[in-house]
Amino acid sequence: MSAPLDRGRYALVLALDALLLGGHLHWMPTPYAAWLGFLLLLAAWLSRHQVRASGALVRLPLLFLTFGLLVYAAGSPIGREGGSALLGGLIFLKLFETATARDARITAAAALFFSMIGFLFGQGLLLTVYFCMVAIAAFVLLHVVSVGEGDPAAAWRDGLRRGLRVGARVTVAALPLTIAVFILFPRLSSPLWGAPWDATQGKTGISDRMRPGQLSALWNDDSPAFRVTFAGAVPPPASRYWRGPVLWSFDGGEWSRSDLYRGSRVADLRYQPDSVVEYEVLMEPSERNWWFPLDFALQIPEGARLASDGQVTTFRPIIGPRKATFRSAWRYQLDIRPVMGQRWAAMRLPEAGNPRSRQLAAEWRSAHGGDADAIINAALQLFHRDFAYTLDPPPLSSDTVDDFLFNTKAGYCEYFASSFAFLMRAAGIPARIVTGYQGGSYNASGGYWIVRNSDAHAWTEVWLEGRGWVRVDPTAAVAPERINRGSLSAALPEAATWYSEGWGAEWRNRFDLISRYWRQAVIEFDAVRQRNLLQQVGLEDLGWRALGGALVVFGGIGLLLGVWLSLRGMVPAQRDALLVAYRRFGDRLARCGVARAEAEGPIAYGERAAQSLPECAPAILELTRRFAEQRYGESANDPDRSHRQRLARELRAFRARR
Amino acid sequence: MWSRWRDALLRFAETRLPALTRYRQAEPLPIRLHARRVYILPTRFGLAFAVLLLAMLIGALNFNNNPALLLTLLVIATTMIGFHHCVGQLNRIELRSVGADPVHAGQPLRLKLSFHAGAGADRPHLVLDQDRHRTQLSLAAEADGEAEIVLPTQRRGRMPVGRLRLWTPYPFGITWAWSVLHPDVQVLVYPRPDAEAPALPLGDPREQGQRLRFPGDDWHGLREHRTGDPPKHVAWKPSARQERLLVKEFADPQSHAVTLDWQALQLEREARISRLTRWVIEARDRQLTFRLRLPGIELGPGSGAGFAAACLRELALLP
Repeated sequence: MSAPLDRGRYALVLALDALLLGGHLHWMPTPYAAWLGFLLLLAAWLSRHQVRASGALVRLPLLFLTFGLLVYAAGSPIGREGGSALLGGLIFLKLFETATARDARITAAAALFFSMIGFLFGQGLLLTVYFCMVAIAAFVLLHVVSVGEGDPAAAWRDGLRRGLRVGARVTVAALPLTIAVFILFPRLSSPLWGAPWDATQGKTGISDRMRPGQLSALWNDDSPAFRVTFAGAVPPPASRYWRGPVLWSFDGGEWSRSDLYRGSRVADLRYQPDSVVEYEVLMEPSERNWWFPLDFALQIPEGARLASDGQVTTFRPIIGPRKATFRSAWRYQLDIRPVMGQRWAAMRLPEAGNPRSRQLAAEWRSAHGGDADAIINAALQLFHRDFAYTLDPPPLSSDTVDDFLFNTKAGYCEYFASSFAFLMRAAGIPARIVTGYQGGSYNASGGYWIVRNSDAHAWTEVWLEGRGWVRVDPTAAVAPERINRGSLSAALPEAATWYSEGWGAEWRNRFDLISRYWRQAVIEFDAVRQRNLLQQVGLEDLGWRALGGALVVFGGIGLLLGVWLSLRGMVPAQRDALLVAYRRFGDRLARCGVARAEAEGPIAYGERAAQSLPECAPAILELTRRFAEQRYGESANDPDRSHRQRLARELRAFRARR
Repeated sequence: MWSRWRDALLRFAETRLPALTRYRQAEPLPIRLHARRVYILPTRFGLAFAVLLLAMLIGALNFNNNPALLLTLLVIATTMIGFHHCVGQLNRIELRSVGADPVHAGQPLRLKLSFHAGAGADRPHLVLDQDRHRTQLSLAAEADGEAEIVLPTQRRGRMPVGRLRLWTPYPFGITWAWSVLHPDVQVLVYPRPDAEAPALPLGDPREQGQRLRFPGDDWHGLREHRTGDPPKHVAWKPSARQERLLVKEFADPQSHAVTLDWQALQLEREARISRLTRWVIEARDRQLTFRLRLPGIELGPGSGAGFAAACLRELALLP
């Protein structure tokens, strides 16, 4: 029953899919996105050369290839990323069996759904605006395939023009209603079912494992990890360590967290009262279970847990933006009295591997005896003397520590922290690795500090007799500017300046401010905020019924406003530019006192106007004559429109002189 | 099954609930559509779309994903405003006239309707249908437009145009708005011509020249004057010679003058009509002069399309 799709309309389906793909590039595995792009081009090529590819011989291999690439690129077709990628693949495969208006409609609906899926991977302002554009495009497609369905192929251009007008107009007119309902729609205070599928397997942010080379993905990730607003004084840059997971176990290649050695509360903490700061953290969704308080947290928000090694965890992964207030002291002493079991855990090394490093540590041990400070100094001296800081280090062989210490001698914080901790343990000093963030940049317009994923860092702590756990940042021995200026400027001292300090930074700060407003006004809007907002306008705790009433009233107003806005403009534009120009010409004459009578023809009118306005009589007569000729004469049917266009321009340019 | 139930229900509603179904009854032209007689429902795609939107809404609410909720609400709001555009398409449309050239029963009838679209947007996609027969038209705002729908015909006589439905999927194909147009107009359907009729009963060729039609154009002869003959027909010279008043007589030879006589046919009623129809068509096509004798009426003799149309009309309207 549905009409077959002509090539023009099919091109619109292709265009919609291309738009859709553009909105998903930011999370889709690159090979997979490239494959979908290829499918798009293939479909376009087939359509252009009018090759019918409806057979299973074409579609089945494409399906298998898509699925195979999906498994290769995303790991599995289940879970958030895999499932979304699968859905995207199916939408693009649908291109090869899109033959009727019905198929095009299905594509438009699927595009809307897939746009929503995009918000599982990011909720920024730009992304939202982009997907609203995709929604408009989907409505345009719906219009073009529904209205004028079955028209000859040539008519799709008219349909597109009309569709753009109608689709954009109706969607824009829908904004008041959307906003009213958005504010008033009842929110769930707790989800009906669990977190998005594999929220804990996301890969941005800092994980509880560390294998040198893994963090590097974060250097390029300039997105904010969290934002901090200090209530009072701000700690100095060298003390701005944001403490994340503490890693105890080393298996020769990878450091990991181990719950076995962690007590449930901090055993022994002394701090200087003048170093206590209070601050509010606005955390981006990390899909992880931990906060990053300023080292060292004294007071943590409700629902969080402070482990004995100073890591603050939550019970549920942080899947939405979260806000919490912390109190920290940045000058402190931890566990001067040793905690049972910790010393042993912080000394453990694999049985074998990295023999040269062990030998080096043993040499230090025999040279300095029990003098831990001397051993630490020896290690830092070594780093300072021979090692380079780079964000793009050469790969390491299986004995990572040996290879790094004696061969490559270049790396970034993870490499230094990992090998330093190894050396310390081998030399008999308890050591552990702390991951988190270091630094942060100030957003002056917003008055807050912003810590980006590119600020991710790893450092070590060693336990010293009488001083407890002491932070040693081996990276500082190699590239002290990393601690003061951030990782990018340390790696690229010249190139990075405009970006992190000059006008680039200013723009970045402005954009971040907008993002923060967006975050606070839209992304974090929940049941609590909704209630607060309604209280401000006097709808205090009236409950669901009042909310429903307000929804109906304001929604109704929004709907009427939208209908009025969109229908008001739908009075058809005069498509005949010549007539419009002539009307304006008449309006100008009317302003000089010569209004055209209802039943007066152009020529009679022109003559009358010429008599009343002798000064510009020749122009009036000439324009009138040409208008009559172009509109009613032989030339009216002339397909060449240039004369009419020129006349329209001249009519518009006409000014009557009195 | 479902359609039978639906028809039965509608018939019941029309007999018992005249107020509710008044817009389905025949009404005189012009028929002007207004919001109260334009109805709107989701299309099948629209129903699926609603399910999709519901899923999107629940998902967005569950994950408290506000941008997703914003997008979903935008789509819902756009759809809702689309409803009004959908109804606005039919609103203020006026059906001004309905007519058709007569055809024979069994032949498709091309019904011509002229519309006028009132203020508002252009109406680019209107569909006019009756049962399975449909046509598409587009009207510019504040302009006239024509539509032609081809309807089947079954029986001779006056055929009521019946209920037509005017609908549109505008703007997004998610909803369709429709209104019933039931103009109180009848169109004429000629009888079905007999497919196996014997040849036209022409006059006997031997009688040529004997069967005459008076008065005619050709000179025929002289005859005695009868009271009432016009004086200018008197043939004065022969009269003087013959010493009685003679009149010139003019006549047309009537060898081609066919009489199509109802009584002469020994057939069942409709078969007679059908055969006469066939002969009338044949006589018309061969440009013969003929007369048609029906019970109570005699037409002709005459010839030409106009006369044939009059004959066909009488045949069509025979009780």
